[in-house]
Amino acid sequence: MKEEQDTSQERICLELPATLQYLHVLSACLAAVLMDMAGVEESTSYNVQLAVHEICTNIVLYAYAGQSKRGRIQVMIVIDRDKKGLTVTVCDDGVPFDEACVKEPVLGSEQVHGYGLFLVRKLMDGVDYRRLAGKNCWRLKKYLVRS
Amino acid sequence: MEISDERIDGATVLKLRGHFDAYQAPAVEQLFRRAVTASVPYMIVDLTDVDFIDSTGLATLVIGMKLCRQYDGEFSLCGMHAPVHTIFELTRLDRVFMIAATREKAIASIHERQRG
Repeated sequence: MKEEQDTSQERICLELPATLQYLHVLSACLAAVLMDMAGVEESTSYNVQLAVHEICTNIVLYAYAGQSKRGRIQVMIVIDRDKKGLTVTVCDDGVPFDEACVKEPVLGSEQVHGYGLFLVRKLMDGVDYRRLAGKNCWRLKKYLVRS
Repeated sequence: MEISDERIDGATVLKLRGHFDAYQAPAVEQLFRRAVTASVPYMIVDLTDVDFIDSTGLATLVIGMKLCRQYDGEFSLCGMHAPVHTIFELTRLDRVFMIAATREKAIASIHERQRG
């Protein structure tokens, strides 16, 4: 993990193996970052951790599914203390994400799977996906303190 | 995540502690499949010490509920913290599950079901 500082933003970069076993490391990092910021509610911290966790889980289960080589997940956390916001970018070089394969869950039903991306969109203030230079890149934004 | 189970008044009470996510979910599902039987179709999952649940955790709980229902039993959750409860509300799974504030209330509810 490395930290860089400029005048208005702070960046923290992590890279972890694309396995379910290590996703809690990322959650712990996000929790620590958010605890350090004044005025961030516990629920907000939880929601950010969960949204990023869901993206990473999907990367493990789908982006690298069936690949013999173990993949990696690159994460960049940008903290904007002036605007009180957080942007988390999550990238992988697995198979391209196909939005057409994602169906909205039927809420209130006994549906077993399919809630992950729905929760990401509900919990974050901005969700953006792009395929860039052979990588899947998700950018998640959250405004941390409501005025 | 730590998992403990005990039998109380004809119901299996499963207590989870820690992160209930995609990594931990298979072990919990295995426990459900082992514990829920025709003779013991009542399950209470105590989430008092669960500080994090993801969509795979939710899915596993739905599987547990369906298993109990197969045997005309009851599956309930208890001790949910506010952030976890919010996820149930967003997915409207709070309308699908029996949710009790405490383990004692969940057990009382099962007693009523067993008497009825």
